[in-house]
Amino acid sequence: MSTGIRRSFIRSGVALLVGVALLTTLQGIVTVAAKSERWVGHWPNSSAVVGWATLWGACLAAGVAAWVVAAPRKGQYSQMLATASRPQGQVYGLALAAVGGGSLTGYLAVLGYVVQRTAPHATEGSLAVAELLPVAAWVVMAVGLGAAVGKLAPPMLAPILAALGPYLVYMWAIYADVYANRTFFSDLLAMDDSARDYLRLPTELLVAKAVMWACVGAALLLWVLRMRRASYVSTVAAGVAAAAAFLVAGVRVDVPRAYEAVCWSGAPRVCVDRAHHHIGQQYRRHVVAALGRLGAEMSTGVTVMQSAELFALAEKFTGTGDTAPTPVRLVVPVASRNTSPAHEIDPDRLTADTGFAVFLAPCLSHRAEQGHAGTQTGQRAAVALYHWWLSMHGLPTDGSNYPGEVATGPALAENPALAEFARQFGAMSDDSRVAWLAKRRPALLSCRLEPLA
Amino acid sequence: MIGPRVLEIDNVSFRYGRRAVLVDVNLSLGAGIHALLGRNGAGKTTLIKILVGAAAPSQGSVRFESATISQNRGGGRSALRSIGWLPQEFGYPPHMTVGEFVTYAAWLKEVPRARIRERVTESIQAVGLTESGSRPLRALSGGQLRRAGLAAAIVADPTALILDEPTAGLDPEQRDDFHRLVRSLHVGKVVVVATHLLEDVEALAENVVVLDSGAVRWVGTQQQLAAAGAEGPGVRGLRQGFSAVLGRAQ
Repeated sequence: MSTGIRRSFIRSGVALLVGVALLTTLQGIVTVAAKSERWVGHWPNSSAVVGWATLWGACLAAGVAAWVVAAPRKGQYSQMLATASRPQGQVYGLALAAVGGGSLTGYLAVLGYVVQRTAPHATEGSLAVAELLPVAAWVVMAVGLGAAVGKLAPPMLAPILAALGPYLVYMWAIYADVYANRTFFSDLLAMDDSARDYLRLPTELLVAKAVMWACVGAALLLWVLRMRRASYVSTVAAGVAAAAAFLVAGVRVDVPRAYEAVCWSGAPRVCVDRAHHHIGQQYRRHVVAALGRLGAEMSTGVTVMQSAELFALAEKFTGTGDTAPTPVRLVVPVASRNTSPAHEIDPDRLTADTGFAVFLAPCLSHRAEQGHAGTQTGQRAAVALYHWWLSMHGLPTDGSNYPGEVATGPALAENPALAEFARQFGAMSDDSRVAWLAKRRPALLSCRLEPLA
Repeated sequence: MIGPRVLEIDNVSFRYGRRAVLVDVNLSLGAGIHALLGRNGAGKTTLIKILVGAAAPSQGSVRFESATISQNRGGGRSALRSIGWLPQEFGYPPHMTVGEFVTYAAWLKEVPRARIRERVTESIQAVGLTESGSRPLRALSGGQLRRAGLAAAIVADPTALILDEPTAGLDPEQRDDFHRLVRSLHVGKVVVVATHLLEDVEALAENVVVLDSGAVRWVGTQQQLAAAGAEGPGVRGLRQGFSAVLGRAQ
């Protein structure tokens, strides 16, 4: 090829690669950043979240691949290419490789972003390479799908139809799972919504679905490039891999170590499970500071844990300090406003949850079933104190701090006596309030508090 | 090893859905200019596409220099290298100049890298577009565009040249120029010109194949076709001969 046209080909290839890489990176980072509370600092979730970059990334790659293959038909020079003696793999190869390379580069950039966000915080584990295999496989799948649509569909529509392809595959899997009332088909995608906190997907599934998608993409690509025998072999390989993936789809592998508790001694004693170890210190600082507002007496003999299951599931407690459970246990989850669990602390949500653990949790019905039944007065007082807690921290009192929260504002508006109690409690000096709470700690923690006299 | 320079069409049929477009076409075309003559819809373009490997026959095969034409086989690909094609309507990658387009065609036909520049220059010169080599294709007139297409078709120095309605849309002067050009290029090659214009047949063809309803109705020389009518040589004679041949066939 002459220098001029070679330069032109290389320029087009580089433009395709850079364009696809930039767009893939941009959409990928936006997508995974929107889910940051689910993965930052936690390697298993961080490894899996890269898969979400493929949702729109695959649509982009498929659309561009379709455009590449359909362009000669649109420009009415496809027959010139079809009658070339040069293999079709070389005719379309550079452009399609540029699309695939750009897509892969974009995902690597997204991975770089994820690693850069997680590495400084992570205390456990490392990047799970097997979780990344389906992402690489979806590059092949998207390019193959795009090339096939580009060959078959009307040239003007091909990029749009191809771009819809990966999204339709995703939606089909989601709806199939909803219809079947189980998680199965979404396990076969490069992205899934399963948290990797305490469970992981079997490595066999990750490998099998990666092989399956790579072979599906390769089969389509080879068919478009007129390598029919190789296309046939890829199709058979995809079928075998799909059979293997179907065997393990829906299966989850327990990660026992993730349940172990790590505790920090002191008052209160604070514990998190290993899955949240990376935010343990931050969690502890926040909880200790929050409880500190209620006086030292309120923290004495108290263990704060990040999940109720931890008390039941943790077989042994590790970390500093004594391992004996303390008599008073408060559960303060790490969650974002609408999801649970999370790997990033939302200070407002954690403050609201701390108040809930101290004031409202002792009045919950399940504690009543366990013989810790409170009184009606105790319940009303708890609502008033929780209202004060939220107000003191500048949090909304309309029940919007987390799903299912008691709306203390309207509750107090309907009960003037309770509102008066909350007002009097709020009007106390800090010292008086601490003394008041210290004196009534047993009543507060058993939901038998009497309002201010 | 390269076989004799003959384009062998053996029992070629082509169906489009349930419609038979070509029915048992058998032809053996040696060096020289052959006109593929037929009315619109006779199956000329379909046969041409099969000859150049752009379409696969439903049945039968096409061989050139002893190799079956196919993109999927090594020998078939070498046959494709030996065939140049000027489609009836052709497009081009946007923004390409004449030189780039012909270079691209050379690359597609696997002209050795060291010879590309030389072959591109020769081909552009042969079609009389030397002055326009660096002009964008979209800036060319219809006649110039045909010449650029012909330059792309001959850049790999093919031994078979297939031209589909090459003068369609050209004015009489451009048509005469094009006839002269094809005559100058044909030496030692198998040239097939699909056309419905008897002027093309008169100006170019030594041999004529009459195609009608997807089947070969008549094969002979230009003089024999003219003799089949009552008007003698010339376009009028060919027209009479063509009508007579088709009338006899029906």
